[in-house]
Amino acid sequence: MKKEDLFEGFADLDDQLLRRSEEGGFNMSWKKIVKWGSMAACFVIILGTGIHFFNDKEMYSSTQQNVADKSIEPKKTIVEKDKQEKKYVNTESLLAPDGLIQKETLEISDIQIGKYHALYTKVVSNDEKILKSSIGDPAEGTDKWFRVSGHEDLQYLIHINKKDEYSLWSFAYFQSKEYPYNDVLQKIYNIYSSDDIEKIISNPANMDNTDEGKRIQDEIGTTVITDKKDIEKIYKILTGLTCYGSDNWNRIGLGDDSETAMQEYVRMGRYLSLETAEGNSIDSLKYAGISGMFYEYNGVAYHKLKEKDRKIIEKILGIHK
Amino acid sequence: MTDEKIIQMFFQRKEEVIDIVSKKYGAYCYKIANNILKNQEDAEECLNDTWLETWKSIPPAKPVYLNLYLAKIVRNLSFNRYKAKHTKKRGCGEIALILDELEECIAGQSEVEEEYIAKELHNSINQFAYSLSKRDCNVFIRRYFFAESIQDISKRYHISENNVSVILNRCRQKLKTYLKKEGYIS
Repeated sequence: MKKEDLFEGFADLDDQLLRRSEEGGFNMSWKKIVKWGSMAACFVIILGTGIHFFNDKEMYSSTQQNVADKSIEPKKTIVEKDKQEKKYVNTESLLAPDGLIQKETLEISDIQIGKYHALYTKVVSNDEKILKSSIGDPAEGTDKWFRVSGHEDLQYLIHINKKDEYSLWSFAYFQSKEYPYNDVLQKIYNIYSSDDIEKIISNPANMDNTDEGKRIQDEIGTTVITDKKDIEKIYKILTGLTCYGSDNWNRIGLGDDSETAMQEYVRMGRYLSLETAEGNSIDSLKYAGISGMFYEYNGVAYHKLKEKDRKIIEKILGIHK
Repeated sequence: MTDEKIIQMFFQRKEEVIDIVSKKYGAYCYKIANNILKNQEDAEECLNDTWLETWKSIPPAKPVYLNLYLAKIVRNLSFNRYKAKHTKKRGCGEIALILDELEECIAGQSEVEEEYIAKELHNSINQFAYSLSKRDCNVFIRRYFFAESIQDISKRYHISENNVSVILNRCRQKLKTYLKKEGYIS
């Protein structure tokens, strides 16, 4: 097959698909909604009618959304035709504010995704009404688990139980002794190329919060990686990783609990957050320079990097031996 | 004039329908031809061929959406002309970029018979397109059916050019995986 044959293969696309593409106009991205919503909200405040919104976070949140909708009215006239398009919901808006202590015990659930049993953990979420209005497409093969509206990824799922209660769940890992991390990137996070990653935020490991530990953390600071070539290099290494599942702390080899070992860990460790082009934030990956491997919460271990890859990662993350 | 009325005139073999359809859909079809050919003269000739082909095919054909029916004809004729002009050397413009992008999806092709490919590929691509999200599918179709530039797609859907590129890249990766699964490539 030649590239010309493939182009010709598109010649007989269904009219339904072609017609849909003619309609044009998507809903605004959540970033724009937030931006325009904020501007519109400011306008309301200037008029002196919206002061109370700040005192009631929930009301502010919903009002901001309403104002945002009004602010994009000119574009909505195009979008009117496209009512089936689900509004993109930023998953951060579903999570409870920082500092809220989870009173419940840890709840886990096993969901079949393709050939894998994916383990999800329940997370503290915002008001149930917000979850209810953020229901997206169902996760394939399930009837009570739903994506977040406007999302193709499966990083967060909304569950409806028998009592019709809504809860938010976050992907943890596949229950398998060994699997390629690329399956996680594609099946869970919908990342198929380095272009799907907009930036990578690298923070110092914060496991040592003594004065000296904090001093080292401050010295390292936060690095935001936006260079496409660097992102490509990291992506390539991540796609080649093999994951060994949870409870593998021994394999990760973080060293002992002595003060010097902890400080060395902080100096050589980084917590990464992959910020996707679709607006998701994946903050589960950590890198341990002392053992030259990635790992995650729950002792999810990866294979030790080859020396060449280790050098690439540590150079980009600014880890010096 | 409504499309129903235009189609009725084709059925009644009224020759003035060619003038009517060219006035109504001339610009629409020219855009597609020019996306592929990037040559005014060639694009205009393709339009004339399109009206002729439409005249010959309706009846018996009775399209539900006349504009899409014309779009398919003008796309095929334009691409045939493009291939005839660039049998040996690489073409230029948007179509050359589009073909290069599609080439990424077929690296490592298998020995599947070409006749089989032509017959089944249309169905497979339809199925693949339905598997995409609505947004990705629309962007994908504007690029690989209508041969639109990334800039035009960006304007059409009010999204950044970078976002269009990201969506297309992801779609190509998925298409490659799909073609592999379907046995078109190894």
